[in-house]
Order: sequence, then structure tokens, then C-alpha cells
Amino acid sequence: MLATSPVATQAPGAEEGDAHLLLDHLQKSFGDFQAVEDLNVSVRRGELIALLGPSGCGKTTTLRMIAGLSSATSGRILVDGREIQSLPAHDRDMGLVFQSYALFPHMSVERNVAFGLEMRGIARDQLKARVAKALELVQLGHLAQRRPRELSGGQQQRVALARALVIEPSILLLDEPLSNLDAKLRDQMRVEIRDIQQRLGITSVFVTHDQVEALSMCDRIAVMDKGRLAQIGTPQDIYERPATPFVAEFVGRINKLPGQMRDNSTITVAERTFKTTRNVGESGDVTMMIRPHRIEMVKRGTPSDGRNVAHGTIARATYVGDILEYSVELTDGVTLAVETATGGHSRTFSHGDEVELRWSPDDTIVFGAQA
Amino acid sequence: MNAAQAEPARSPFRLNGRQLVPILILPILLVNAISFLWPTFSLLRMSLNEPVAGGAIRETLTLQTYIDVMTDGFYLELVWNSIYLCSIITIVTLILSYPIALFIHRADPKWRSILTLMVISPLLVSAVVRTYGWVIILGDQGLINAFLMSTGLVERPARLIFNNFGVVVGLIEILMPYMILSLMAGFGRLDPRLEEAAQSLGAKRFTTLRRVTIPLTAPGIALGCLLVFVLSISSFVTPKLLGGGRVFLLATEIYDQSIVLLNWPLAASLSMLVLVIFGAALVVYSRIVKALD
Ligand SMILES: Nc1ncnc2c1ncn2[C@@H]1O[C@H](COP(=O)(O)OP(=O)(O)OP(=O)(O)O)[C@@H](O)[C@H]1O
Ligand SMILES: [Mg+2]
Repeated sequence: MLATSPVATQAPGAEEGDAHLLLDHLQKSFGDFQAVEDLNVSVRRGELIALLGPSGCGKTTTLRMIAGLSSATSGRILVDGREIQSLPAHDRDMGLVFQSYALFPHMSVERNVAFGLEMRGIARDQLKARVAKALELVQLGHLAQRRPRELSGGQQQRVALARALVIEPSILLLDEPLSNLDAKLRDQMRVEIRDIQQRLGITSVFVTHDQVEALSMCDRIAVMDKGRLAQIGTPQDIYERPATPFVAEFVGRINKLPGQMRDNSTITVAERTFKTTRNVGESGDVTMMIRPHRIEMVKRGTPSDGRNVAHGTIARATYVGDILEYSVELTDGVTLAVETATGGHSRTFSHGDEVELRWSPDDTIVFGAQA
Repeated sequence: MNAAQAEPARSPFRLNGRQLVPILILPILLVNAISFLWPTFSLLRMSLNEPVAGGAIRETLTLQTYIDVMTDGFYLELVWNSIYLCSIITIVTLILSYPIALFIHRADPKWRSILTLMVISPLLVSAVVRTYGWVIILGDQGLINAFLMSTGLVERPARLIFNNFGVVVGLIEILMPYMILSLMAGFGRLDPRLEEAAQSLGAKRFTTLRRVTIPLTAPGIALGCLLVFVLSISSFVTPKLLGGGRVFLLATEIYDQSIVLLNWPLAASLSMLVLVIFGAALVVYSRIVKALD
């Protein structure tokens, strides 16, 4: 800490230039407990950014600070370059979808959605039209007169979404807005949210712990781990070039094998050697990681054309719709997960089949072992 | 163990849940009958008797006392004065108690119990003692007048007791704990997230209070108001002492008629009137609660 020069403190902070929303060294502690630590995120105007992380990593806490519902212990929040910590929540023009919905139980669905527009003094007829449109969007037009407690969990969640969207805020904060919907509705709502968000150019922070949601909807993803930012980047960055083993494991499934670096591009794992092009200066004990679906499974004896090769036996094959999940036991007891698409040309294997696994050195990710 | 053994043996003394209900309710029914229904019935009976000069009572069945009460302007004024004063007391008590209850509700849990205890603690002191306390504070030589005179703001002591004002002040202070406790009991539905949601949608503090906080706490408000209204209309020590014989309310009049003038039939019919007012208040309350739901 003492060694940190002023320049260095500025450096990790996101570039202030074109940021619409900027979190600068944001910190929040509850007593001794650090819920959010040194968080630096810059969100461009009109960008949809995902806040992704396991339960309890500080996502909701971060959103609440942005919305002005709780104050940061230290650090700054800037909108268009202006600090907003002293601005009360009702002046921030942000729409917030609460994780717990927070619908007003004493108002009908329609009144709930109209609330924000009333606060903005929107004229009656225009207000009615906008409320109706918002309810149509979340497919709840027919339930406008119901009370929240007369709705299912998923319906309540959609009311919460409509209530935040209808005010067309300059910044939209969504705290797991789709967590309670069925798969089909969730897909539809993803498209709708993305569509509105892009059409109106609303800068949005989308909290989720569903990585598919983050990867498929968002311009960029900020992965949080125990209150800290683990990595921020495009979905491709996060998925293909995870910065830490935590990110690699949290976003998508991955195989994890302990090994040693022999030279800069060769790893030994229990007497096998594999090639990698992904080593950035690690040596000694390392962890090798490979995504299950990047492993090709073929019958033994096919030429390997420079890729990594391992032999094993199918220990388990599980059908999960789109994909087949295999568990392959290598000859020395190491187990690798492999995924192949079902249908089409890929051939299927079953328990006991002897197979050969291959993957590209480009897909062979390496992290230092201590991490 | 087989299925037949698992089945409880049917004995003639074993009762199912539904049969048990009347038996469990019986004790409270008995207590109610002895301590409430019977005295009420006796009062009703007494109100139909005829008073004879000198405090004697002639047993008959006449509505004459009721007719006298209804036609005598003094008693009608008494009823309206009581309802009017007690309504004011109820409203002012609510306004004073609401912020306190909200503050305690939102306080840190470890402070909350201490604050609640402080709210309850005045109830440990008898209302008579607290009323005399108000005499000391509000009286002609009391704290407030002594202060006002010493600063030269007034030349003669201001009349702060032995009038409506004194009665209202005294009863408000005495009834506030009941109001605060009722309000706090009704704050269960008040989720802080809802107030935050209102704020995030652009509602300022006062709008949040008006549109979200108060509607959500309305059941507690209704309960507290009912309780304070009923307690104030039936309280008599405080109006008697702080009214100084110049404030005429139903409860004090009933006391005077029964103890001083020994006109029991009149006291009884006035009591029945109070009971009717209670009934009306209860009806209003249940209507409100139903409408809120
Ligand atoms: N008011 C509070 N007092 C004390 N600790 C808190 C408080 N609010 C949150 N925390 C703690 O801060 C951490 C982060 O909480 P937060 O609600 O931000 O998690 P989250 O990332 O939103 O998790 P989830 O995905 O489960 O919603 C948790 O460990 C939580 O226990
Ligand atoms: Mg959360």
C-alpha cells in the first residue's frame, strides 16, 4: 500500500474520458467486512455491462451505491464526469430493478408501473399510454388491475422490470431481473431488454450470476470475486482469455489439471507432455485448463497434426439435450470433462469406449499453480 | 410395527380438533360472561329503572331516562363535546407518535429494545400521579407560567388547566405509549426496500412518506386511533383533575351522576350511550381495515 504512487493509483482506474458512468476506487464495508473493495469500472454511454459473480460477491451492494440507496465507504461515483455521491436517489434519474422486486403491495400493477411517471409529472393520457406499452412489453397487459400479491413470482419480476423501463432512465440498473423466469420467457425478455436498451441508448448495468446471460446480452462483462473486480472485458475476452483461474472456472465449465512448465510452451502433467501457446511467463508448478467443448474426441490412431493428444476410456456419458457430457478417464487416473454437440455429424461414444482426445495448444490455458 | 398398530385407538374420550374448539373457548367465554356481559346487562337493566329524588331507585321498565337524555340539550352537548375532544386527542396523539414510532422501528436493533422500554416506562406510573404532574407543570403557579411570568411575556398566569386545553394535553401524554405501541405493531409490512424503490423512481422524502410509508402503515394507524379514541372517551381521572369541574365529558358526568348525585339510572343510560359510541368506533375501524386490505 505504501508503495503505491499517485500515478499508480490512477492507472487501474478506468479511463475517465468517454465514460458515462464511472466507479472510481469504490469501496464499501459493513463493520469489519469488506463487501466491495477498490472497484474500478467505466461504462460508456449506451453500453450494457454485466456484473457477474457468485452469490455474496458484492453485486447488489455495488448497484445500491450507484443508485444512491447506500453510501460508499470511500471512492467516487461519476456520471458524465460529475461526482454524484451527494445527489439523493430521487434526483439520479436511474431505473433500478430490485432483486426482491420491491413492488408496492398496496397498488395495482398499473399503479406500480405508473409511479415513476407520476413523479416526473407526465400528463395523464401520455402516462396511460406509456404504462400500457410497458406492460405489453413484458406481456402483462391483461393483469394491469391485479395487486402484486395476486401474481406469480415471474410475473412480479416482469412488473418490476416494466416499472424501471417505463421511466426511460438515463442509467438502468438491473439486479438479476430475469432470475425467476422460465427459459423461454427469459430468452424473450433478454431480447426485449437488449432491444429497448439499444433503441433508447440507455447505459445499463446488468447484475447476474448466469454466465450465459452475461455472455449473450452484454457489450462487456465485469467479473467480481469477493468484492473485487477479477476481470473486465468483452464476452470473448472473458471466455477465451480469462485473467485468473477464478474467472476461467466461473465463466463456463473448464478442466483443471496440475502440472509443471518444462519450457515456455511445454507442460508436463503426470508424465504426459502438452503444448500451449497461452503461457504468459509462468514456470514451475502450474494449473492447466481446457474447456470441455474444445476437446475433440476421435477413435484412436488418427493422425494428430500437432495438437495435444491424450488417451482414455469413457467413464460416463450424460445426455443433456444440446450436448453430450463425457467424463474421460486417462490411463493414469486423471479425469477430463469433454463436451460434444449432439446430432449432426459428431459421433457418439458410450461407457467403456477407448478414445483419443485432442485439443489445440491455443486452447490450453495456463495459470501459476499458487493461484 | 404394522399399519393397524400405528392407527390411534378410538376411545370415546378422544376428541378431534373440531370438537375441541368449544371446550377450549369455554373458559374465556365464562370470564367474559361474568366480567363483561353480566355487568353490561345489569347496567342496561338499571338504565330502565326510575330515579326517585334523594337517590332512591324504583324498579320499573321505562325509557324515560333515555328520552330525557335525548331531549336535554345539555346531554347532547356532552356527547358531542366528548366525541369532539377525543377526536382531537386521537389525531394529535397520532401526529406526535408517528415519527417516534417510525424512528424506533428504524433504529438499530440493540437500541430498539431500549427505546421501546422508554416508551412503555410511563405506564409503570399511575395515571393519577402523571396527571398531578401535569397540574404542577400547567397550573397557575406551575412551571410554564412561572417561566412565562419571569420573562415578562405575560402579566397574569395563562389558563393552561381546568379547561379543554389541559385535558387534551394530559390525555395525549398519557395515551401516547398506547399509540406508539400500536403503530409499531402495524409497521410489520413496512419493507425499507419499498421506500427505496419509491426514491429510485423519483419520489422525494415527503412524497415517499405520503404515497408509500403511510399507506403501508395504515393498519397500525387505524388500530392506534381506535385504541386511543376508546381509551380517551372512557378515561375520567385525567379529565376530572385537569378539567377542574369545568370540562364536561361523558365519563366525568357518569361519575358525578352515580357517586355525587346518586342518579344511577341516568348514569347507567349514559354508560349505554358510551357503549354505543364504542360500537360505532369499532364499525368504522373494521370498515377502514377492510377497505385497506
Ligand atoms: N447491510 C449489510 N450488512 C452487513 N453485511 C452486508 C449487508 N449487505 C450485504 N452484506 C454482505 O455483503 C456481501 C455482498 O452482498 P451483496 O448483496 O452485494 O451480494 P450479491 O453479490 O448481490 O449476492 P447475490 O448474488 O446472492 O445477490 C455479502 O457477503 C453480504 O452478506
Ligand atoms: Mg444480490
